Amino acid sequence: MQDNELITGILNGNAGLFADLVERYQTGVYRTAYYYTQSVEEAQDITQEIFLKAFNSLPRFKQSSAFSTWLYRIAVNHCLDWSRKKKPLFIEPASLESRFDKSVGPEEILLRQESSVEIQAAVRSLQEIYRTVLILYYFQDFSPQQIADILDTSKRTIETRLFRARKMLKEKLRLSVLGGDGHDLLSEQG
Amino acid sequence: MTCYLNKDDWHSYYQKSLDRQTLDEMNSHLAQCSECQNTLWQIQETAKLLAKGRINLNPPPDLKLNIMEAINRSRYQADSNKEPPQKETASSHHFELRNWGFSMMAAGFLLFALNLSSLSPNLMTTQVTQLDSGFSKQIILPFTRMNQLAHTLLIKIDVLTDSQIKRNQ
Repeated sequence: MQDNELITGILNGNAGLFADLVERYQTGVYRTAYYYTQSVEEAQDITQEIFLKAFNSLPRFKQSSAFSTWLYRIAVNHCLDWSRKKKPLFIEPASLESRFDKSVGPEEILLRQESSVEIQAAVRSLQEIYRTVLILYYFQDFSPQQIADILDTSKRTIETRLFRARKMLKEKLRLSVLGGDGHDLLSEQG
Repeated sequence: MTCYLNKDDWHSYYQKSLDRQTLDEMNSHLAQCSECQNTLWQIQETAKLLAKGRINLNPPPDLKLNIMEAINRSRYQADSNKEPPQKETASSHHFELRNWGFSMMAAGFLLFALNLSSLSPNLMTTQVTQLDSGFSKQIILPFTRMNQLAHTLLIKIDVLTDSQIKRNQ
């Protein structure tokens, strides 16, 4: 069933159909929440709150836009509200171990953990408008147009923010990451 | 050299989230523009670097269940919050019934007063009172019959009681 068909069914009283929407979007919303919170427990709580908010707001959803866009708008706003109230916890590299591919060797896992933590720390340190576009574009694979719809702004603004965010990230990583690799990777060609 | 092409599409180009015609135009342009090649290369390198920060984290298996339970609790609470108006409706129904009761009692008192006025000797002299008296006679008729019936019943009860006393003696 398409999203719009499910929504029509839910609005007609079949609330159980919302489980299908949860199944469809829970991974994306959960990961988005994790990128903001850096905590598995907080990401779970926030994901639950986001879906609850979406369910309660469903009668106000205008089906002129995609449900996913509307849902991620709620998700991003909720995560930003959370970020303003709470500082993300420091993430222990060991706690990430289980999230990497076990087929690679322990040294590779360690390197990936360090890179992952430092890159996420660099992204997290950016202003929220730049952090958000980086998370949605590079981690969640949304197109600039989709991000523009989610953030209710123009595609041009998103492209500009992505370029600026890259420059800021380059500055952050130049100072801290990977023994200079960050600087090299983000330097201009030639 | 400043490229004439709009740079606002290179992130979309990298994701191939543009229409076929625009992609072809940008492909052709890219082949001959080093500035745009550099822009695209920067996006590619940023994507490579940030790929290291990606986490393929899956939600816990019970997340969906927890979400649906939270939704059901929320709906139950919403329904509970709607109960006071229902109670109000029930109480207003009782209030309406009580008003009906008061109205019936008031009507009864009115009928009783009319009957009393028909018996009043001071009002017997006027025509209005005569009309009123005629009207009252019609109203009082069922009460008179009820009174007679009650009187008969009382006599019978007295007789029965007397006979019972005599038997006991």
